[in-house]
Amino acid sequence: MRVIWKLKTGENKKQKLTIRIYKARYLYIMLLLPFLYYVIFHYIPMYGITMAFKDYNPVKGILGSKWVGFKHFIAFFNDPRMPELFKNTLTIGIVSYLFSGWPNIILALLLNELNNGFFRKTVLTILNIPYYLSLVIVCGIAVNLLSPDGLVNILIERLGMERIFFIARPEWFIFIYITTGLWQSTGFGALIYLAILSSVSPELYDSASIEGAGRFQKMWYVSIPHVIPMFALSLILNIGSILGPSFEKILLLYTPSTYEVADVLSTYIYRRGLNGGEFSYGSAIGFFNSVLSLILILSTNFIVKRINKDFGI
Amino acid sequence: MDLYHFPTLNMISYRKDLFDKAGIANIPRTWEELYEVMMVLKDAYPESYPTYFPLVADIINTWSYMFGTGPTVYLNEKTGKWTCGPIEENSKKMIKWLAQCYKDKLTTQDFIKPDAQKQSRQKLGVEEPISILFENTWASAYKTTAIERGAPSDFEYQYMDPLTWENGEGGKLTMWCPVIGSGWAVSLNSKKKDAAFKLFDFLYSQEGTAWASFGPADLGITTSVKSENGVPPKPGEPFWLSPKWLDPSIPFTENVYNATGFLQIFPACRWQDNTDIDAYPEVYAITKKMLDANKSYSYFELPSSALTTEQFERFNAVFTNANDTAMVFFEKCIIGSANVDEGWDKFVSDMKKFGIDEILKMLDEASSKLAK
Repeated sequence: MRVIWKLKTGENKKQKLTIRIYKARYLYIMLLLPFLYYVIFHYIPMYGITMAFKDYNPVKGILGSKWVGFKHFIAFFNDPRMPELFKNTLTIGIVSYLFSGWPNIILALLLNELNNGFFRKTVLTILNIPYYLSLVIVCGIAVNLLSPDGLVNILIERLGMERIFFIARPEWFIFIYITTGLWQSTGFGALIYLAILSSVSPELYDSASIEGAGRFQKMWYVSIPHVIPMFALSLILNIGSILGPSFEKILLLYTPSTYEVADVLSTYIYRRGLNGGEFSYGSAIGFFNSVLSLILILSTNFIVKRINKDFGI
Repeated sequence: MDLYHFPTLNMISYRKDLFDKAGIANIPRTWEELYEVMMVLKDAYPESYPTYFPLVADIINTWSYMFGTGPTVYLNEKTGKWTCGPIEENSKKMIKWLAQCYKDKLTTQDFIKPDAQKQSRQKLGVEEPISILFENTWASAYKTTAIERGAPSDFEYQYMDPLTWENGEGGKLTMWCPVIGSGWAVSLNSKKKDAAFKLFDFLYSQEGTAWASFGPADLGITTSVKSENGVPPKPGEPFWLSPKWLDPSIPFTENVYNATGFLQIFPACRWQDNTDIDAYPEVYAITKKMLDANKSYSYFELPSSALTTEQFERFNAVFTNANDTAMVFFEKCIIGSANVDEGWDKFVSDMKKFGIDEILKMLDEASSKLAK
């Protein structure tokens, strides 16, 4: 702690850099692993982006392949599937975004209101379990439950209604996509907000009680203002996902019958770029997608900071 | 890369014991007869499904041959021209046949799920009396392990002769068998090549043939790891052939791939030659007959080497979109969320809109260039 304090104060600025590094050596050693992780797995592979501007040939390699500029980007904009893919990507992304964050807050607020600690912990544990299941298992459970011979359809038939082939019906796709996501991650997402709520001083609640506040008012005037900054942060961090809905999840849940609503940029890249061997074309779409996501994140951060400078990054 | 290849076959097989119990004496020779037989089996076992379909992608790529047409692009051997299979009349007939089977619950209702085939294989002979199988010969691994998993003692699969369909537009005899559908190959540079050769040698041997349950005389699947005919390998020797090692829920080729890291080849007909056939006489007797009758059962090969980079990119763009469109339409028609007759004209026009005629012309030109 002493070292951190000294670094912050700036009195050591006059000292040599090497001395300052030596004094904070343990912190730098701790930083080394994540630093290497980002360099090796996130920065060095960025070189592969150049594939988007080349006619990549696996035999010649990235360096040896011919430079073609924006050819693949132009081809993508002229692709007849492009409007549909873009619409699907945005629709799934926006709906997912709208359902991210606030269900976690509601669950955290509800759990926070529970006085029985054992019951609260039990509920939280049960709700957390799906988060630790692999996405493949979660989607497998959903697909099997919703298949024509699955449990849901057996119940529907017992109630005297017609069976529904949920995973083959485009109108059900987004609902299945969102609900499986909520089932898997709401419990875990609520943990963060619960941690924030547990750090709120009880004196604030007591004061509110003295002022005559009821349960709902205490939640509204004390609890919610404490979770808002984290909510704003999660909104900024999640905004990038609008253009990048979960590729794996869509791949596991979609079928040709639901392509009209479920086929997104990433799944198209997979089919055409990887299966079709058009690596440069796939890289170009991926790169374009990433640039748009970055613009979205930066602009959201800018807007949030304009609203309240403490909420931005 | 030098490759050593071992081929596999696609066949239709049927459960002889269930056919006998249901009093089915005549084995189907046409698709209409197969449908009728499946209806009889459905009446006998109303709660089960007589067969299971593969994913729509496999229906387009392989089943289409059985109905006298072909995949999204294929070489029509009657005309010598490149053709688009899904927009041909026989594809329409195929979809109608499949849709009728689906509607009458003759196939599993969830076959479009990625793991549906795997789940059906796990039930083979044990939980459900699945009577008709469209699988490759290595699927015999499921059949042999079915007895271990509790199939009845009289459980017996036999191969069925290829079915015929009127006037195949594709120019092939209409049958479930492009002879050698897939195979395994191992790089001669592979560190595991010794293990691969050992396995191949075993499979080419008489003992290996029997173990793989092709049946020594009549090509019937009557043997199992417990039977007298199928000589089981001694426990742990060689380790990869121990029945315990096999995962019955996945194809045998995948088992081998998982254990040894062999490269799985599809299609593998470029390595097809009569040496392969001769080396495995019991298994390939029927195939050889087919080969002698008509030499053109093998898969087509794209004339990729005669296409320019731009042409190849154009081909890929059109092919991906056309193939996707065909999959969407076929799947919807089979499960009943679209009507074949009502949607056919729009489907054909959508396929053409993507530029299918343009790439067929391109492939014809490339083929002629190669021929010269």
